[in-house]
Amino acid sequence: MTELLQFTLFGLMLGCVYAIAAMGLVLTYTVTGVFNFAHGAVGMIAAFVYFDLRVNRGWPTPLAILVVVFLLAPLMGLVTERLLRRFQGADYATSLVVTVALTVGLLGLATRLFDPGEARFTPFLFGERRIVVASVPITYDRMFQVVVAAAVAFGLRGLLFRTTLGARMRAVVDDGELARLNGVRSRSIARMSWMIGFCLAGLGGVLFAGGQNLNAIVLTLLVLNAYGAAMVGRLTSLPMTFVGALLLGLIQELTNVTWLAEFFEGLLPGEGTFTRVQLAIPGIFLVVAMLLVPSARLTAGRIVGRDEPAVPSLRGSLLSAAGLVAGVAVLTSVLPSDVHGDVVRGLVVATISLSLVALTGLSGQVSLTQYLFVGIGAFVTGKYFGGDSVFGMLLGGLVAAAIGVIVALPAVRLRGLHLALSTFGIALIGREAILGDPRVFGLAGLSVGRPEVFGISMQSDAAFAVWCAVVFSVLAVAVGALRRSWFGRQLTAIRDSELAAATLGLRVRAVKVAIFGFSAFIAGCSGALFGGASGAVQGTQFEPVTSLVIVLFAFVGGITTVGGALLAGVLFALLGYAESNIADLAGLVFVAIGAAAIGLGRQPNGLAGVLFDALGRARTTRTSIGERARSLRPSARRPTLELEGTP
Amino acid sequence: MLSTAAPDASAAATDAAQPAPIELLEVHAGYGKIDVLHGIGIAVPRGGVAALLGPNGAGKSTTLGVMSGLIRPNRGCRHVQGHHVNGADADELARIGICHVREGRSVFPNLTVLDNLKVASSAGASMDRLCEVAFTLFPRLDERQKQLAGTLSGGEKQMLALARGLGTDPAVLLVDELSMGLAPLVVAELYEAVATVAATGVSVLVVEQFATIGLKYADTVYVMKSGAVTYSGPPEDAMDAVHAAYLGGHG
Repeated sequence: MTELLQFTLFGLMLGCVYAIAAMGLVLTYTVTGVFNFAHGAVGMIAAFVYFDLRVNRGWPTPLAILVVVFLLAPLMGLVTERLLRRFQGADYATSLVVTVALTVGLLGLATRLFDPGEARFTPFLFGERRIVVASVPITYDRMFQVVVAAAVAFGLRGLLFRTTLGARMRAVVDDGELARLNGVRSRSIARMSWMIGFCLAGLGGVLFAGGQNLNAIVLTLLVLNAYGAAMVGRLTSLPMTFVGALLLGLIQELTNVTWLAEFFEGLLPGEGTFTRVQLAIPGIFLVVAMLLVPSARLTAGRIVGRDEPAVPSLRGSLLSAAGLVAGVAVLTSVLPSDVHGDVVRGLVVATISLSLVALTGLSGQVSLTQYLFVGIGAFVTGKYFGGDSVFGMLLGGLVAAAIGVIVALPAVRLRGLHLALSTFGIALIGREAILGDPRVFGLAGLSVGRPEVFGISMQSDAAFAVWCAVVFSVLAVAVGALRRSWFGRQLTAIRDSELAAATLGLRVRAVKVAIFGFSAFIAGCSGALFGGASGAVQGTQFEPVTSLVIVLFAFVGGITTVGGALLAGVLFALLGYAESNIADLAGLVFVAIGAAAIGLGRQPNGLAGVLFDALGRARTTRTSIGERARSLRPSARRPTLELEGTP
Repeated sequence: MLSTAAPDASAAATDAAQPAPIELLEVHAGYGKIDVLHGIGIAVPRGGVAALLGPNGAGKSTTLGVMSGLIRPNRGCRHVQGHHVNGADADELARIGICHVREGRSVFPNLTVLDNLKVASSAGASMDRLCEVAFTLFPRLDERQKQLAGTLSGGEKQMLALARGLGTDPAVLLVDELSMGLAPLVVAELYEAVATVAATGVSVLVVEQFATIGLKYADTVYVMKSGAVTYSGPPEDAMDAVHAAYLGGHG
């Protein structure tokens, strides 16, 4: 009984920290309409800086907290607001990608500034002091968390409902345009809400850090757990968010109660399965909370002018495909053999990006779980065919597609941001329950071979690079064909307006599930290439964070075109080459790709779009010079002279 | 940064050379790449009621949006007190005294009546003054101070919206479709309030689809059709243009 009480108390206290972080997230989202994916990364940075100030520099604890939570975090909020101002009114995908870019950039920054190899054991705020409540010893830290959470909840409520600033904030939420007509400085309101949101993220990060050995990714994901809580409040209600946070904390802690744990262990097959499930609880919580969100109502979209990239003809795409394969063959024969590996990795990333082009470019949905499918593809290939046969890749693709469809079935009820977040929840579950399980890939990793096609062995890096180019080309031609087909037109129609598509009688959900499956198929196939490229794969190679990074590469390259996917691969190969040859680049690659994604955020077709635009402009400039040249002929100049002559 | 356009009735009556509080010159504007207004010129006359009439889709609401800063002109100029202010934001213009009451119940539905007024005070008016004006002009709002604005009746919502326009002591009041969906008695009550405020020297521009109401209260009339002004002048001579705009033909 004491145990039950103990874990109930612990659960509520853990829930309090989630609540602090989640309320900050909800506040920023409701006021600005931007879901700050970087909330977790902000908490992580705050924790690291707090550690540095307190332990390395020996600052007193209150001062360190004050500086981090009330100076550093709001400053970061200000900078973020400034960064995001350019994206005002952009669609959810753009602002999501920009905050994902911020997350990845901050992770890179943390690796850069704080050597990950170093142990950072953060002491508790109040040391080891504890009090005993009903025979349960509770540290001062946990008590403090409850006090802070309560203070934040009541403070926010007071701010929103008692002050003029709060009334203005709620006014902006209600009707932003009308608020501006009322004279509300919407920009400073937005700034304010970013600062408060970041403050709370930082506070959450510092509170989480106590008693932990700091790890950038673990800490980021820990604050990310708050997303499930925010989802219980449907991203809008602060009280429900608090309830959700307590619920998540309770569930997490109560599974530690001995008789409950034993009961579940008996239910689940295999040693240690329950522990994996326990680790996956935040992800499961997020997905379940998503499932309870009522199905998205179809609303008429805004009319947005789109720069739609041209769709290549079948002949054109076949020619480019042949060109690519020939190009890679030439490239590998010209380049020294030690960079062949980079070429291969670039092509693998290009293929994974292609799976995002199929999903995001064609249907406008964003998936943050693509590496899960890559991992599944690699696993199936390695496990059942050893990678020696092309059938391994196909089977990997099909299994990934099947799982993709299962994942998509509940998710497609939702739209936009909610869909993207539920895919991230699935990525979290996959990480803990499947990929993180040492039994899946084995402790030493699973070896994945390279295939033999029509009697030609692809063992050498050069040959494998050509093989990757062939796979990419075939899949790319398939994506192009899909875009031109009746199915592709349905996708475009749904992306432009689900409502209009539904009133035309299109089966919106079936189409969305199908494209999700197709995208997972491509990702699964690239898993076989991924495995072949590295020889042996481990679960840790398919972290959710990697999925975020690949989304950024795809966006920077250009998520709307096949050419963009290829550019993403080229970019990855170049950055990879730089990283392996220049010693001190740790984390800078993340920072670079994050910065590039933010910089290109306004350009929906990515680098590929910029390049095509530049080519197009070069062409128009040529004609305009021609016209100017004509206007210099005497007959064109005469009227000007007459004009000059008149007094 | 901008001079305050305080109403100065005595000067306005005599000094014709003083620039109009708001004037649009050759303005092209619209939504995205699509222009709705094709080079319109309208000046809100100082200290009086002007009516902007025209059928559905003539560009009346867009014109008000350009005046209040919600929509930026693609070409042409927006002048406030003779100053060129194309780059100003809606909230800046609101704070210097341009009050735009949008079409269709311009209130915050999830805020109480009192909070609605509190937000309205962002434009610079004092909360006491706002409450005083709102509750004396519309006693019905007084009884519903703590009620969410979304739960008010249509007429009460419009009263609340108008209370912002009247209580913030604006220099210019732009009112869009005050009469829409309301009973004639309520419409008369609201227009009386507008006439009262105009008498204190505020420059008022009302947009109306129902030409007769507009013509009744206005000193100056503009008629719009398809994004262009087809008539400007006294209400007595406006009927031909109104007929042409609503029923077709040439006016």
